[in-house]
Amino acid sequence: MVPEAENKMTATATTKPRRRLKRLWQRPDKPPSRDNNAIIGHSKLTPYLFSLPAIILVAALLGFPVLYGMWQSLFRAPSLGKPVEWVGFENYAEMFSSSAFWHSMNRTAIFVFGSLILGTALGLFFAFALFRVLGKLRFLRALAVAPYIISNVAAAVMFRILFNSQFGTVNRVIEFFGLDGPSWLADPTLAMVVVIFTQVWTDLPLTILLLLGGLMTINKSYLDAALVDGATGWSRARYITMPLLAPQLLISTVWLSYSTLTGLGVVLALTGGGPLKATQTMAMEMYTVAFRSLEFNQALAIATFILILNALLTLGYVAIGRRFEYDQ
Amino acid sequence: MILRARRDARSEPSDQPSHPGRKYRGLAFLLVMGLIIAACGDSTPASTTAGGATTTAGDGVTTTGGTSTSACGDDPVELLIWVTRPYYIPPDDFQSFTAEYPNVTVTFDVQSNDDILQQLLLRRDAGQPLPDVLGAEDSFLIEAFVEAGLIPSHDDIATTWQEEDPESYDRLLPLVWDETSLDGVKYGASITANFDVLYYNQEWFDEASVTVPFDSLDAVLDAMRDMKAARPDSIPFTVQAKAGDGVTSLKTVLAAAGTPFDGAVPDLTSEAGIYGINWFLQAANEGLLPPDAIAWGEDESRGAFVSGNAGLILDGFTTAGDFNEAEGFDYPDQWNLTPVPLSQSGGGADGVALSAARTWAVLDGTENPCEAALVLRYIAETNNLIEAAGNGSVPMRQTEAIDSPDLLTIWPFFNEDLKAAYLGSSPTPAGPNAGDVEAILEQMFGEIVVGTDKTAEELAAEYQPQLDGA
Repeated sequence: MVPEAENKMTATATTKPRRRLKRLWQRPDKPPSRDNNAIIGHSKLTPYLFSLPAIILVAALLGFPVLYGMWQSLFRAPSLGKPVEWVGFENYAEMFSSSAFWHSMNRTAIFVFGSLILGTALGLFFAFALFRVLGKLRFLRALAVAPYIISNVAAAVMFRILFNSQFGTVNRVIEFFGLDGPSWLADPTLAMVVVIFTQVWTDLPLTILLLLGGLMTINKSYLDAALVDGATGWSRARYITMPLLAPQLLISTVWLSYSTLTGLGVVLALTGGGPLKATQTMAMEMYTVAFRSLEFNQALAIATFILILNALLTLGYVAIGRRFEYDQ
Repeated sequence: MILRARRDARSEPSDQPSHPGRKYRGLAFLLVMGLIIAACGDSTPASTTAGGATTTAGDGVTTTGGTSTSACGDDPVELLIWVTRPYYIPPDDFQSFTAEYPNVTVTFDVQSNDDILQQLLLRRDAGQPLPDVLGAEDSFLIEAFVEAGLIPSHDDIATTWQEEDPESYDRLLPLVWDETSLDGVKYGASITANFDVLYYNQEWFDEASVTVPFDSLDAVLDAMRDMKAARPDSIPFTVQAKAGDGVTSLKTVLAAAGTPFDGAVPDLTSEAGIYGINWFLQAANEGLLPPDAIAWGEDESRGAFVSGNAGLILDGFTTAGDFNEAEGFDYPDQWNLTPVPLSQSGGGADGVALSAARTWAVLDGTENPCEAALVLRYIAETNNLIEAAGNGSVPMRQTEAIDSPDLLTIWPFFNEDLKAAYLGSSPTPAGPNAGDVEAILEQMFGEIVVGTDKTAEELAAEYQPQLDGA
């Protein structure tokens, strides 16, 4: 005997299979009947009640500091240590009228998108390479995580030594081939390149893991079918693997963008925002305003702006990512 | 039906014994809650046993005694001391102090110097007790500390010290109190202070026939030129010019040339200001100072000198201790040091040497100001200052210690020329806008180091308005 609900489900699935699959997790066709054995019983409030402790905890630990920081960005102390006074959006007005802020915006755009492009390209390359490794070479997958367990400040110091123009290993290698190594950290353009490279190095393991995980979940039968149909390797990657990898690419993009937009450790330890403010990103500008100019509320305005920018970028990535959504 | 059956099977009867894992989960929950409560509570560092000195922030050392013999009172007193470098604490870790005042328990904690002011403000805003005594490098920010209400007047402390222990008080140089005086009111004791000196590679100087001490800043430039002539591919002179690392060397040369300062702001447009800028411009444009120095922090600039890749470096005196420990780079055969000349072209002194103080202060709101003030006297004791020097600390503004032969055994390079320069030094120009001023000077210094077509006058005209507006 087939229950009525089950019967209806089969019928709906036959008429609108794709729409049905998408909505299955969102809303059942028929609310389940009240379970007399349940402690509370079914109601719309039940899941929220169970989630309430977690919501309160998360709000208290994460939400409150953020909201408090945003609130404090509307105040300013007349002088250091004195009680703050309400200034409304004056801190924001000053921030937007500051040439240093717009300079840091420019540097941040280069830093974030440079890191995104390089990080995603390298992440894909290594994910595909590690996906292919077989047998005992699989330990390389574990090894790929190694940079992630190194503090980004330690990594920055390491790269500062590597790229030192006088005694750094990079220039020694270049000199070995008879060429003169450039002044990596003294040249404004090259300094940004080194900062992007270092940031990507510290973030790459997570990108690789995400993409590798995505590759592993792809149903091999799609690729086999395409192979039988005569699809080339590039065609399979372009039309099957990449679209199916879109969710993981989206997550890694969001992560890389967040990490670089808020990242301070690498820039601070590697260049300190120099040379000549060439790597003065917004996070560095926030640090400078807070700890050199001692304008904490002004720094909180920058922090709030970074938060909003981060949210907007994430929404943008999600919107773009949805275009490539594909059900396996 | 099948679904109902499975759900029923998952629902355990209430009279079943609970799973043992739940007990552990409950304990884990309690533990986590306990940790959260502890984290929200007082974060005063835990005390450890006497003698267990550590160098990491958050760790402390406690020494305890029994009955008090102090004039302050006999009640048990607990003092919390914050320092920004572990070596500011004398090597005996307050043991002689607590032996003398057995009712006093001392706990010290090492905190980062970069944001010590912010930490104190945050702590106060959060309703947490402040430390009783602070030993910090931010003497140039003393005005900000005072403005923030963190440091009270030390006039009474100084007066009591003078009355109760005149010998100890008289051994202090006037600069100890002058450094932190605002409108005639004392706000701390700058008992020790660092100052910039010129370190040179002896072999390079011999090759270039350079002799010291220099009688002028021009002579230093000439020495660089001579070294460059003797070693065309070398780096005659190096400084640290990395963003965020400060511009101490620029300020040292500006002050030595005689540049007037208004608070923390130098007058770059003055004759001496133009000279100071031009001094660095010449060094950079003639290839005497490498453009790479723009990316060099203290590690790189000192590394270049110790490894024999640079002939001259302008750096703080405390670095001498590090150079002295470098293997294969021996004093005085391979390196030596000399004061920064205080004249532009020779003949008299145009400017002053600057010293960067390490200030000790009793913080506002301490419940034990009398005992806290005694800590300042303990720090200023001759043997403590000398032992701290051996630990890596900086020169002292205390006559008995600085003239002691024991100090020469620790610092054989602290010769009479250097001592005279140190004793004649002036406080680093200070003000609450010191951070902004540093950032602007850093930008200008960066331009100079990487090489610019601008003249000293053009640079001064460009940056002076920014400095005035800081």
